[in-house]
Amino acid sequence: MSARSYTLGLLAWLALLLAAVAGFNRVIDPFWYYRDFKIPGLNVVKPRFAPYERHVKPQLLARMRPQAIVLGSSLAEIGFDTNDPALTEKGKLRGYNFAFAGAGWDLAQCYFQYALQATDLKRAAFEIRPEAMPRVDCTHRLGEIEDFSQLKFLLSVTALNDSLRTIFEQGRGRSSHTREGRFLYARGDFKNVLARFNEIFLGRVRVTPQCSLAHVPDHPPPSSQFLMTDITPQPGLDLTGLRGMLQAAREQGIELRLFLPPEHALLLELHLLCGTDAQRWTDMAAIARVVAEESQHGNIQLWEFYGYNDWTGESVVGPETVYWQDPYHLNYELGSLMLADMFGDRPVGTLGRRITPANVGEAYREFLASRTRFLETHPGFYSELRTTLTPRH
Amino acid sequence: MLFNSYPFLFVFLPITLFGFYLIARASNALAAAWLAASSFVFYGWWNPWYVILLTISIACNFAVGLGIIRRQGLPGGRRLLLFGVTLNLLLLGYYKYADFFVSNLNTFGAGLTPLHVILPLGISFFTFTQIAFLADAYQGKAAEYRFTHYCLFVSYFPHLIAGPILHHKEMMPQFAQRETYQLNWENFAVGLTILFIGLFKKTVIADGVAFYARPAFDWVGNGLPLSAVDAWGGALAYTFQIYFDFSGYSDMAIGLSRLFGVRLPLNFESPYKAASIIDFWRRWHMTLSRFLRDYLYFTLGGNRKGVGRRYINLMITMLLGGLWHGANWTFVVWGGLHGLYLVINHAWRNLRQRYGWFAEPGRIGKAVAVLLTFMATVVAWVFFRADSLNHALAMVQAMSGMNGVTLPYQWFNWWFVGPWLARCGVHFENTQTFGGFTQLKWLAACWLIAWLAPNTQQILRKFRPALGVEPDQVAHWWLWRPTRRWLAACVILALFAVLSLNQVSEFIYFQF
Repeated sequence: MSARSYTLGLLAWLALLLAAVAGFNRVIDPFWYYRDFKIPGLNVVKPRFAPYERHVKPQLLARMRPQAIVLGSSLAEIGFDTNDPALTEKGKLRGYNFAFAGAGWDLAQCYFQYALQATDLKRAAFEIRPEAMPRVDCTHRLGEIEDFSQLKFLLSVTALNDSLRTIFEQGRGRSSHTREGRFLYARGDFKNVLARFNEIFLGRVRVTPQCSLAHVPDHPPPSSQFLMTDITPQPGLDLTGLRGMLQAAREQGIELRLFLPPEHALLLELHLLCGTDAQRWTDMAAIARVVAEESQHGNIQLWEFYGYNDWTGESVVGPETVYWQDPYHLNYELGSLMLADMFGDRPVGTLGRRITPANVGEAYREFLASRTRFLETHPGFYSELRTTLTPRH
Repeated sequence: MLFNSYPFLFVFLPITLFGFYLIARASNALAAAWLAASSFVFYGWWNPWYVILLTISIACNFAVGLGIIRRQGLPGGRRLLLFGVTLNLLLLGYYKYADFFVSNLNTFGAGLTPLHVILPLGISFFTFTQIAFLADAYQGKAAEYRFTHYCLFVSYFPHLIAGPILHHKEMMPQFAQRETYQLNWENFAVGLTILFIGLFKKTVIADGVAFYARPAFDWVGNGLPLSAVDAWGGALAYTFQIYFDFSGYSDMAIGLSRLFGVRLPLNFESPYKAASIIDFWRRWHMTLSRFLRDYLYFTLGGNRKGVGRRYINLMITMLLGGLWHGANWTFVVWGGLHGLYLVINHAWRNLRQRYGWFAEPGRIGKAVAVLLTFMATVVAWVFFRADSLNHALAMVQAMSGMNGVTLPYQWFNWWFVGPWLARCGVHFENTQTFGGFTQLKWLAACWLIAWLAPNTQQILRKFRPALGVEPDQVAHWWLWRPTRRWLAACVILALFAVLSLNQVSEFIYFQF
């Protein structure tokens, strides 16, 4: 073989193979970015969307330009169907789930800023936690957006590998997300809900030993034991980031619902027994004050969904758990009830409550009252709590 | 612009190459000017303002060099040489070391404001290249001095950012040769093969193993204690990362240059196969070693002033060599460690000579020597990679087992070995940064390539891939020739190398 044929052969074969790889990745579309080829048995199921959602979701958001979005962590990503009529005004608005697994306040805040620039946003549900929400400089924070390049999706070993995995997993796998960005996580895996509770609770015991099985009394302590006489907003809590976000939402006339998500009653009880519950109510009071100062015509509202009831107290020992995947991650059936509370016309008070500076104390008392009622009607609750705290081998 | 980027490989390189050979049909001088201009574009891609700095540096050095050549043998020549070298060192000192000195003075309460100077890419390389030119000019070794060729010699893009450090006398004749400007398919075949081998080493091997190096050093950098296995895993991964990264980059430089018909000097010769530290420095970053030897060690007196002075000269050379790599005490300590290793190595040789121990070691003895040399370099690399001396010491402490030994808990079930190790005090639990079998497989693969595989220059030896590499008559099945088999191998290497240029990073979040 002459040096000339070798050189030309090398360049030609390389170009050909690169084009073939790009074409293959383009058709299989493992990251669900292009969304134009749908070939049964080849690429309909998209199991490899989840690890790359931080690259893809922002691009899809900019392309789809939804008017109603949900933001927050995996909880919001798993728990909200953005086709929900309450969120979309019975289909009038385009919805998209723009929440991300592992996104704390800092990232969620930056994603909100991005959404303001990239969409014609009308309404948003934003998951928050009762904690400090400082201002974050979002410059260079969203590297996946800044460094986005389609070349990575077409010409990379990762893309090739994930295209092949996508094909192989068509028969036995399922998409990690819905088309509208809702994460399915362990959806449908009813059998292992107890195992997931167990794993998470034991992890919690490791970092907070006062939450262990040894600290669960034989009989539930009365709710009066946990009653706080005064819920005063925390003075030093940094909420500058929250304030900035609310101002931006107000300026653009966005209907914004901040929500403190529900937790499973077993986790709520653990919070009370570990003594970590009081702090969140005082933080909530501080947040309510900022929301009241920045909201206009009730367009921005704060909601909390703590409470003991049939939804949050759903048994995890039984055969099928509808509302929960683990103590934090709720299913969209419960999310729909929350959206109906926040955006719909459902009678308020059964699941969630709108919080203002004036009613935080009342909400806390109602929270404890719901506990008392729940314990009266659920005598096996503490036995279930012990089960979830017992190591399984 | 980086060699391992799409704009370079698919835009800059084809345009420059096409333009070069097209212009060369009309005029060699214009083709050289085109190549020099392209090199300035290559450099300015990163920061156009620093092109001015590069231009000034080239113009000043050329003028000083010319002055030295014209005063050959006159006292003014020496003064000009000193002036030129000082100018270069001042430039390097300002851009590379000013903030380092300020921060050190501030630890003694000087209260100086840091300058926050942005380090121009490749400044260490083009400064050293030009210091060498001035010294060669003084010694009468730099004969050819056309300005275009000089510009090209300094700014030539294959070597501009990360070397090799060139000698005027080995490059200028090539720029003057007519054959350099004639399209030669053998140069293309050899150049592309070396380029893709280098690219593969960089993007597939070095970047792949880097995945295991970073977490260990970050962990220690966060002030957290690391167990021995995690620490060794990180240190070994970095040892291979830096080798495959730098030697890959050097291969790319050699391959790229060959596309233009120019041979560069060799920079790496399987350094981890070295059986002593002296041998290591003959194989690692060879053009820097050559520079330090010729222009620093020999200037200090080398070994001509007695054994004691030789060791001092070695230490000074290696300490300054360490500092050349970066403005941090970690680099100085790295250089100091290698200086110490060299002193010990030379002392051992002297001892052997004195007592007549001339017997060559057997295969096992040689393997032990290679392993010992390798381990010594691994420890030194820890200082090179760590952010600070404290972090480096914490890493070495972890490697020595002072924080205990932890293995992945899954490994406890190894036959009888797991329980036996547990009885010896080894913990089995989640490791902090060690990647288990996958990391072991990476390290083993790197080890096999670094120790057993022929290097790029050996593979292409028949075609004189670099300056100083001459073809020999020994036949090996792995010697490169333009055959279908080699074509297939090279296409596969190139494909994976290009596909690894740009990766989508997976977000790993284990616990929601």
